[in-house]
Amino acid sequence: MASDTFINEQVSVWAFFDPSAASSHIFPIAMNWRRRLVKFQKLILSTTKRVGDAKILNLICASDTACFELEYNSDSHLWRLVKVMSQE
Amino acid sequence: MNRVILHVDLNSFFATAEQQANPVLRGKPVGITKAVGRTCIIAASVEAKRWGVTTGSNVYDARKLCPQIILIPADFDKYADISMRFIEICKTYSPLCEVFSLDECFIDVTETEKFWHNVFNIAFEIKDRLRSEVGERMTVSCGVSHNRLLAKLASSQIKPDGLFWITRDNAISTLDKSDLTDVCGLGFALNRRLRDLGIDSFPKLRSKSLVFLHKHFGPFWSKHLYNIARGIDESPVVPTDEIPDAKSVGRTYTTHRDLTNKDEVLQLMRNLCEETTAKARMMGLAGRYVGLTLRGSSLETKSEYQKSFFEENGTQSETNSNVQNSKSKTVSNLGNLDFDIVSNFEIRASNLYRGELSFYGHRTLKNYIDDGKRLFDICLAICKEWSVFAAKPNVRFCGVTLGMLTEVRFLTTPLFSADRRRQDLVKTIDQINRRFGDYTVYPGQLLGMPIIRPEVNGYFGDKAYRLNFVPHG
Repeated sequence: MASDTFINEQVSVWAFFDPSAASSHIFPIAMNWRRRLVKFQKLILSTTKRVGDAKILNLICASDTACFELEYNSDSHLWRLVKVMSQE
Repeated sequence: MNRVILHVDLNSFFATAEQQANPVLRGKPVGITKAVGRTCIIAASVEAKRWGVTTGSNVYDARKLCPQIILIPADFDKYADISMRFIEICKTYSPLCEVFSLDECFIDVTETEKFWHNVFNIAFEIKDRLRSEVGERMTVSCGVSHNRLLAKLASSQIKPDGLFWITRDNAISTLDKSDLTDVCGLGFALNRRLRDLGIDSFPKLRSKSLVFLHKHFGPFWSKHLYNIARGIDESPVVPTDEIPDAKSVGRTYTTHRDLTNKDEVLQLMRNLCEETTAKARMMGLAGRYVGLTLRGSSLETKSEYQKSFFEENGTQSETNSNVQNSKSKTVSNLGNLDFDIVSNFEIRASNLYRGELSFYGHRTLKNYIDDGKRLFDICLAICKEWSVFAAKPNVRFCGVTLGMLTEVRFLTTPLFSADRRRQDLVKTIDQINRRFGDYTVYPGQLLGMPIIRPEVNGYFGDKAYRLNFVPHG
């Protein structure tokens, strides 16, 4: 079984906002993680939760090598890389 | 008028959600446990079910059946969000949409099916929308019939991703092919009693007269069984905004290990009191009935106190045998509390529940309360006399209930300044916790323990709270 690696680091993300989309309104395109550019191929799942007044989006994106779980805090507008899941 | 009811059921919901979130898990047997180290599988994937793993299986048994099973701890935030989106999709097809549980909805499309030409178009559209709006792994089984009972039975006929229609013509034949427990409303206890009478199938149940059923099951269940056997169900689909008011608010918790330290038990009790009252306050309710349940570990690992309890009160087989053998006593001296007590309470210390030692006590107060500390003080008074704390406690389960509810807006302002200050304090803490998240401010007694937080694991007794009060989206 592939292992999940918990990272929990702040990252920079380029995202596309589409308020008319039915599933998710935010589509991450790429992220800068430890001076590495990771391009995303697909948004696999997006879920939301609330911590107090802050709305937190959890986005699972697939690149060509791995899946990445990103967390977007709509209160602070910060992105966080939660974990990396290998695809094998 | 012939009703058209659609029942939509997400297949292996928790496991499928995890497979959706992590592509590596797709096509593999997955079991969901409540947390890391827990031993009960709360959901199994379709692949794991093929190996015989079922919901409620023990991890040890599941590994024996399917050695390659992958165990994943549950993520209830994820499930709650997917569930809400599923409900939102279902609601778009009729105002009469009943949320039956986290992953099931009944939709009465009698009046609205014509907009989609027929009910099957609705079913296929729901399937498509789930795949496109939530994830391609999310599948539902749909059942169509003229009542709720048969619609639910229809959705269980083809899994996963099925669609089945029970008409008036094939209703009896479908029922006859089903097991008694396949039908909603016929649980294990009723099934056991029916089997004791030699009734193990629907044809046999149908052959019994109403008089016979009345004699053995009483006026309510006889009619219920008589109707079930014939596929009759006139119950309406109750939409979310017509859910009846809550009669009680409570929180229960089963620990993953025995709590052998009294302080740990009291911490758990305090945590559950905070959970219960926070829920009540969010619903704008206060209550004056307090119930407390504690359950101990199994007999194999029973404490010295439990051993002495059985020696004093009867043998193990006697106490296991039936409810009538439970030992009960009434205690009148409850200690000093700063509010009046209307009734004394009753303690039942009995070994009735699967070989566990169980304690239950309750108290009715004069004044309504919605404060965790006060609720905890009453729980303390209730369990003060319980011998579970006399020796080393082996507590495995705790439950706190607040009943006899009324709306807080109907209550008068407290007369004394100390009470008003306490009320203001609780209000301020609630404001902070709503702004920054649950348990940002919490009682010092909970320091050093893993705090039990609100979690969505179903929409049952507190359906209205889950669906209407929790800010979402």
